Amino acid sequence: MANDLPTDNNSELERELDRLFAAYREAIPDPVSGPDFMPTLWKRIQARTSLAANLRRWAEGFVTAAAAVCLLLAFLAASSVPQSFWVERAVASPDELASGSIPEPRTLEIAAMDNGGTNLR
Amino acid sequence: MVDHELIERAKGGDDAAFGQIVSSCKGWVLGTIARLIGRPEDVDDVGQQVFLRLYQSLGQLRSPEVFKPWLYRLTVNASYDYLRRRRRRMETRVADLSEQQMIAADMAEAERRRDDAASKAQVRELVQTLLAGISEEDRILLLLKEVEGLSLRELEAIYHVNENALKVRLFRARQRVLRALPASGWGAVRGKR
Repeated sequence: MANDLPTDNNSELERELDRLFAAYREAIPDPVSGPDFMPTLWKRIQARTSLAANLRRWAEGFVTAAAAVCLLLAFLAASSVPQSFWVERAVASPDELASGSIPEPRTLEIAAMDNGGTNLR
Repeated sequence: MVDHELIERAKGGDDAAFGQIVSSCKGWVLGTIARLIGRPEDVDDVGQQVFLRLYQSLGQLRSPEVFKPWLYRLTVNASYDYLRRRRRRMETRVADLSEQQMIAADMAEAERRRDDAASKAQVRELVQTLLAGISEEDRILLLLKEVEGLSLRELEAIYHVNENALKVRLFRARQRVLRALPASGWGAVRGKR
């Protein structure tokens, strides 16, 4: 390969590089765009905006569905009868407690701890 | 320079105003892309990417004064994406060729051409080969400075990086290209011109 560039003189090399860049600038002038540049650009813009609109519609639909499910679950939770505890029922109806219609809760008595606390009755 | 009122109208969703902006900026945007990527056949595609991104993000432009550096930035980013894609394609295609073989092949191909267009093609390929030795970021920065003639202040506005950091990057990139220049075949090409 022909090579007549100086390898030791840095300033001369710098000038050669500047010349090369100038030649490159000259070799690639501002191009003239094709006749379908603008129509293609508008097509791409429309495709992108319609994609974005579709995604937005899907996202909105998803949020609406999620909100509906939340409302439904909240309604179901509110409408179900809660299981009251024995204490609540006893306090609310002392007569029933006296008549024995409310069974007393089971009790666990912990025996004296002299056997290591494992003797439960 | 694009009229500020036109930019404001385009920001407000006026497609006719946007079309006028494209028409007035298309020349220098496509020219810059052509020199950054070095492939005239792909310029329209990358240029459309730039204006598509412009259309999508015009609403985020803070003030019309920064429009030009901002459009430069979009141009640089689109060119950078293109170069990265192309490098990936080339790596898979010519992974087994050494750089010297590629230079020799490019030069042999280029030397077969005899007219002015061939001479320009030689210069183009030679610069592309030289710039292949540096990263895409440095390549674009170097070309913006050396070929597009942008000042450090303009580069600062595009990159949002301080002048000293830019100087260091430019110096290193230029030094790498300089080191590769003697063996590039530029002497022979220049002799023929």
